[in-house]
Amino acid sequence: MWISRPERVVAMTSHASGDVDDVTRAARGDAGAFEHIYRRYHPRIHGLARRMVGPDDADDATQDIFFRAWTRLHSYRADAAFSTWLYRLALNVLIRRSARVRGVAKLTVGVTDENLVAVSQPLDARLDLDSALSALSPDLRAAVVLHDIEGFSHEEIGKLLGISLTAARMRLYRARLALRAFGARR
Amino acid sequence: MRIHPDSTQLVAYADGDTSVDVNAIAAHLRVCADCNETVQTLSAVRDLVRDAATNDRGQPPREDWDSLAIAIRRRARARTAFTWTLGLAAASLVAAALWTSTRQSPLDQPRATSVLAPNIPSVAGKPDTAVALLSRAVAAGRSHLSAEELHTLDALVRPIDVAIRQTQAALNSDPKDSFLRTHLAELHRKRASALGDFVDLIRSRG
Repeated sequence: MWISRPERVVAMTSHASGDVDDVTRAARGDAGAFEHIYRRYHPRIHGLARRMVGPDDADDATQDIFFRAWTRLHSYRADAAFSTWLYRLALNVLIRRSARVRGVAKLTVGVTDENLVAVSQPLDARLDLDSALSALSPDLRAAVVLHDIEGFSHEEIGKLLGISLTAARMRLYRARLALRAFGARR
Repeated sequence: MRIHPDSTQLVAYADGDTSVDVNAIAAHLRVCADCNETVQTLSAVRDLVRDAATNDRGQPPREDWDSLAIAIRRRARARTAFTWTLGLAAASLVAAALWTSTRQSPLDQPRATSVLAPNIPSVAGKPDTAVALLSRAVAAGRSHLSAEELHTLDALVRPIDVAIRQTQAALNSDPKDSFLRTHLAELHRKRASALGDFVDLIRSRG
């Protein structure tokens, strides 16, 4: 479900107070506290996974993310929001999984002069989102999912992906032109 | 703005990011059809993706805490076994070292290869292969060990064997788990290290 940016920020902020206690207890091995974290973040992480690796692999990827989160809780430092830490971990897992999927490279739409010419063609009013996203490389897909679907700002995308603001914007630019080219070909 | 804004400025403008010089870019767009069309395309694709995501919500995500909890418990058991194994192995090694030091000086008994343990490889290479060879050497030389030493050997190796079996079982169900693979290799190395001490002891009496 699309959550507008203000709603998303409120939702994440309201989680923060509960996170501190649950993360502290979970890091000490309290599985019950981790269950609270799991149920709190599962819908959003699953939504991210669905867009990044597709609906067929989303359940498995989500479980993988939470299992890794459990095993790495000791590395979480409270100087950043837990949600940011979890998203960063999730993106690392999802980008790696996406890159492993064979055939992605063949489908990936590169931004070429030919693509840019296609911009002048009319834009299809409907988009098969899963197909379109799967046509992008994992790095470009992450940028467009985080901004256009999850509602993160350019700066937040840079932090989540560990890249500069300029690089984040460049990925968004390339991703959208690639999606535009993908839509024009269909 | 006389020169064209670069692509990052255009995407920032299209997304309403005010950290760029919005007025200068807007002025440029009024006189540059190419840049104007690019901004419109960037905005249109963003809106298309948002609309598609809104309309394509799919099935509600299915929570599966139970299977995750099982995986977590399995990991916790493996860690507990690992911790106990390490503690027991360390204690046993210290005991064995103390016991050996009271019986002989290493300088009096050079580590010559004997018929009991020919060509034992370094355990630093392939731990599982070394473990197999060391196990055979210890099995062949058990008659050279006292009952007390055999008891120490069993107390040292048995928990490691249990931990190896548990970790292997967990790894069979999740072969991609790098932690379990590392953990298993570490257990084999511990076992090889422990057996190596007893091979040395056997050699010294060969």
